[in-house]
Amino acid sequence: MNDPLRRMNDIVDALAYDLVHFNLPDFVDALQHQRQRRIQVTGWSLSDDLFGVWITAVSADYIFYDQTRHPVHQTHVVLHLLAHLVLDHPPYPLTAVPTLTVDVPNTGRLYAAVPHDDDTQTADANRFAAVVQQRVLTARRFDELYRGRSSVPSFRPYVDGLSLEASR
Amino acid sequence: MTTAVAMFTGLRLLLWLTFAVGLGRALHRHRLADPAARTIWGLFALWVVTLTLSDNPLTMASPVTIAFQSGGLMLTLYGYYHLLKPLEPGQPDNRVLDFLLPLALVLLVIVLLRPSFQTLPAAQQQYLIVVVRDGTLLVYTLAVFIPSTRRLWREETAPPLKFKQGSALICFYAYLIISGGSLLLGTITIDGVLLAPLFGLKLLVAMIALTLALMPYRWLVVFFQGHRLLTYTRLRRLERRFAQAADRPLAARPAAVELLNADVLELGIYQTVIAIFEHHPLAAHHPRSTGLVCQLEAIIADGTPYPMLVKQLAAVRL
Repeated sequence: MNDPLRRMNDIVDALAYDLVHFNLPDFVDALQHQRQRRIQVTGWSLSDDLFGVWITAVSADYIFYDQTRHPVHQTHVVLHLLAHLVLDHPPYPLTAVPTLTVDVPNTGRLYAAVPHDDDTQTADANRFAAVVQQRVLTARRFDELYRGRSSVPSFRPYVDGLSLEASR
Repeated sequence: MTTAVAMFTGLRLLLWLTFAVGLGRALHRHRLADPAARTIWGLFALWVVTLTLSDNPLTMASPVTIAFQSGGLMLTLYGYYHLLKPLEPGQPDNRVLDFLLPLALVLLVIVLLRPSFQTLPAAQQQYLIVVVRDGTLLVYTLAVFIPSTRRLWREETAPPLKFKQGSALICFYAYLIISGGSLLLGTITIDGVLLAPLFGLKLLVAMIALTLALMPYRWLVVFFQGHRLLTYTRLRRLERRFAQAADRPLAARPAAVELLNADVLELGIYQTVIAIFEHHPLAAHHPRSTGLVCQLEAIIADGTPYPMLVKQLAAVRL
């Protein structure tokens, strides 16, 4: 395993979140609790080439994702943006970049930076999302393939009886 | 014929090995404390013993062997009938099926013990036993085994278990052919050649299917890894097409050797799916990718969960 990936695995470990039972709202809750700061995640209609936006305000962080995308892609986008928070990436200075306008509920009109091409930060955020998803996928794959848990409840006791895995 | 006999012997050995290893593990893990586990292992044991009683699959066995084999098979499937029965809520309680098979077994014993049976030629003795066995099991196969297994196969979403239910279904269809064939065996020949070898081959199909159905899940993972590799290859081709249309570089992915690791492969599939989504808006403006974009947009509109999404994307026509 190369160093950046190992570092990202350490960061994910440090979150001490049970990724086996991952779901996005629960993960956001855990991060809010850990950072002692509100994170508002909201679906929005964004332009064609913009999948999500992270806006940092005084009292909270706002994450907007394009709600017209596939749910799997939406989750990826939110994870990617949460990675910027977790990794303490500095917010992009609003005055120095082309802007787009977003109406933030109860906050009025804010200006947010369009995504810029900071390769290191983007790569790190992608790596974070990938590490989280790898752990989730591995856990679910284990559940589906190795544990052989039947999805038919009435048939499950017989399948479990024939299973060679440890008792559950 | 020698190859088929060797294969049959090999399958029997594999089945015994599977059974012995599995039972050892189940005992070690105290799994047999559970009544459902005892039922399923009891059926497995009966099935293994029944298959061991079989002679050469390409010829008809002696009447005594057929009688024992038939009794074992009938008991195994009667046990399986009782296993499936409570899994079919809402179905009317069929008292005929509760008693038909025990009555058939009693009838078989009476037939076998009659002095007149001993005076019959061996071929007729075999035929009589087969008529009682298959005439009875045909009813259960049509009324219970095929409909119930087909329902379980449809409802199952865990891949190895769906595979196992599919194997069991093939097994019952093969048995249906064998049963029908066996009943006609006494009279039907083609150009004077008895059809027994054909039905023996179908028995082999049934044996393979049921052995797969009973095989531990971990051993099946190897087959699914091959299928996932194929899925990944198809997704990569789709990603390449979208990257070209979007005029963006194709992202590097793990080397082929690394993909043999199941975790790396799953991550590669996920990254490829996301890359396809991210190339999509730019590719949408490329006139030559209209067909692909339409297919992708239909998938996005579906909003299916991840496992189904992967299947849908891998099935996109390039």
